[in-house]
This record gives sequence, C-alpha cells and structure tokens, in this order.
Amino acid sequence: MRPPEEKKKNDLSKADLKALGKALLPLFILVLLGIFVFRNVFTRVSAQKQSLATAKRDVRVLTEKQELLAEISNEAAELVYPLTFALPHENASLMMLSQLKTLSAQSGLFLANMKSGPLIPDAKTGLSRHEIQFDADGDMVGILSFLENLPNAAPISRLETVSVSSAGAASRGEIKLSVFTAPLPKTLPAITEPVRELTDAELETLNQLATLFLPPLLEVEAQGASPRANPFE
Amino acid sequence: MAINLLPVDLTPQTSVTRLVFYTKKITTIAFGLFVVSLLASLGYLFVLSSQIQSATAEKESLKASLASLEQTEQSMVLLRDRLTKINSVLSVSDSFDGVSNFGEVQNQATALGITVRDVEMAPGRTEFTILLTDSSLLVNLVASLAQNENYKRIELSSFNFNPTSGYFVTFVLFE
Repeated sequence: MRPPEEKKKNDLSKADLKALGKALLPLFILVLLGIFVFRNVFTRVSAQKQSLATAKRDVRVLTEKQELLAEISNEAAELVYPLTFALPHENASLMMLSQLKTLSAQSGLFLANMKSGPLIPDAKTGLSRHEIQFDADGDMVGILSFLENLPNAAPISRLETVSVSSAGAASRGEIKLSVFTAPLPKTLPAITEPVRELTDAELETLNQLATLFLPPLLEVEAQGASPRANPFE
Repeated sequence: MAINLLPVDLTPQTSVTRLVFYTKKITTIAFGLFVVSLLASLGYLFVLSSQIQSATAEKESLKASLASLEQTEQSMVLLRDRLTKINSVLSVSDSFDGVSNFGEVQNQATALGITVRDVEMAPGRTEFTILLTDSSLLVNLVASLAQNENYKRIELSSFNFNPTSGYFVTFVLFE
C-alpha cells in the first residue's frame, strides 16, 4: 500500500481532470480542424498546380505549333504535292502504266503483255501493293537504261525480278515490279499535340521525292451551260 | 488577503494549473498559426486560379488562331504520314540497285568487246551469261569483276563452248 500523502501528490483529482479537459479540448479541436482543413487545401493546391502546369504546357505547345505552321503555311501544299504522286491513295498501277509507256518511248522500247495484279493489302504497314508484269522489247542497253530511270518516276516502285534474254541485237526483258497505295489519314491529332519539325533525313527524302518525274495529268475544266439549239427552226 | 474557502479537493494542483496555463498558451499560438496559414493558403490558391485563368484564356486564343492554320496542319499530317510509309517502302530491298550495279558490268563488258546475252536479277542476286569468241577476254572481265566493290561474292556458274558461236560463260553476282 502506498502512503496516503504520496497518493495525494500523484493522483489527479476531479478538479485537475476538469481543468486539464477544459484546456486540452480546444487544442484537440484545433488539431482536428487543422488536419481536415489543410488536407483539403493541400489537395486543392496540388490539383491547381497540376492544372496550371498542363495549361502552361498546352500554351507552349500551341505557340510552337502556331509558329511552325505559320512558317510553312505557304510551302506546305507544295511539299505535299509530289508525295501524293509518290505514294497515291488509289490508282497507283494506272499511274505507273502511264509512266512505263512514257519512259519506254524515251528508251526506244516496245512494251507488251502488260498485266496489273490485284491489290494486296498489308495490315502491318497500312500499305497495299499492286504487282505489274510486262515485257519490254528493244536492245539490252535500252532495257537497262529504262530500268535505271524507273526509280526517278512517281509513283515509287520496287523492282521485283528482271529477266533479259537476247537473240542477236534484239533483247526481251520480262519485268515484274510493285507499286504501292496507302489510304489518306482520316483524323487530325489533338490540337494540343505538338508538331515536330522535319528531321534532316526526312528533308533529304523529301528533296529526293520532289525531283520525281510525275505522270502527265489532264485537268478537265468544267464547261458552262450553252443554249440548246431549237430542232424546229 | 482573499481566503480560499473551497475545499482543497475542489482546486487543481499547482502543477496541473501550470500545465493548463501552458496548454492555453500553446492553443492560442496554434490558433494564430492556423489562421495565418489558412489565409496564406487561400491567397496562394487565389493566385494559382488566376494564373490558370490567364493561361486558359491564352490557350483559347491560340486555338482560335490555329483554326485558320488547319489546312497547313492537314498538309503537315499528310506529309508525315506519306514520308513514314514511303520510307517503309524504300527500306525493302529490291533489284534497282542490282540494275545500276550491273550497268557498270555491262559497260565494262562492252568496252572489252564482250556481248552480254542473258541477265536475270532478283534482290541481291544477278545472274548473267556472256558470249566470247576469244577466251583471253574472260581474264580481263574477271579482273574487272574482282575489282568491283558492289559485289561480295562472284560465282562462275557455267562455262560452255560451241565451235560455231564461241564460249558461253555464266556468272552469278551477289551484292
């Protein structure tokens, strides 16, 4: 048993507890309020900071995009024009047949047995391939020079196989090549998506493609209405 | 002098009174800090939201000005799309390189007075047959082929002799 005096010293009386309770309760409420309020404030500040960072990034991207697009606005259509022939979205085989006739005439060749195969789509690259087969009659030098000139013609083609056989001065080449089509992009990227400048490699490819020999195109102009003749006069 | 008439049991101990005094002090200081921090946080939130408003307004004005450049953007998207696909077509090996490389061989053969009879080309491989009346010309042709750096391997695939025509020699060249 503890002596009564010691008990008096260490134990808290009701009055002690009441006084302590009165003093600690506001502090406890303040702590709880602080936790609640500052947790909310912190969440809001974080969200606002994130929104501000996103808005600033968007402004930066849009400014760069506007500057770049304004810079190339005059020449963009000119840059794209040869590319739409180099890789058309349709009729690549027709264009190539026309080009083959023009180039063969330049090399003094006669083309025969021209065949265009069906469209072979490739889901991986998004490209579709047409196979074109034909025979070229002429001399060996003419056939080789014709084949050397083919990469300079639009649409771009891949030479699959060549077989040239000669009998005296006359030669016949059996040639198989592929031309390609690709559908045009259907959607624009999001407006806040950055636009990248063309790399040196892309510019080099673009310059090469700009020198391609384009197929001759005939643009038929719309004719105005003309008065119909009266058949009874 | 005031006389405390309360029983000793009803008055808090001195140590407790001191603790209560300090607790009240702490509560007052904490409350002050709470109010100051709350005001500072609210001010910071106000600054942030006004910055967001001004950035959003700037973004909307840029979007409006970009609408007039939509045609250019379409061209840019088309340009990139075509370039990517054209590069994937050009990366596939074909026989165009074989044609230009064989052009050199053909020129060398013609210069030596050799007739090229047949040529077959596939990606990376060229097979050709020549007709010679004088077999010593073959040495010169082989020497020039060996110096040609476009080919990694040269094979002599056949060697035939016909008394009326001459020598028919077939080579296979690998790029």
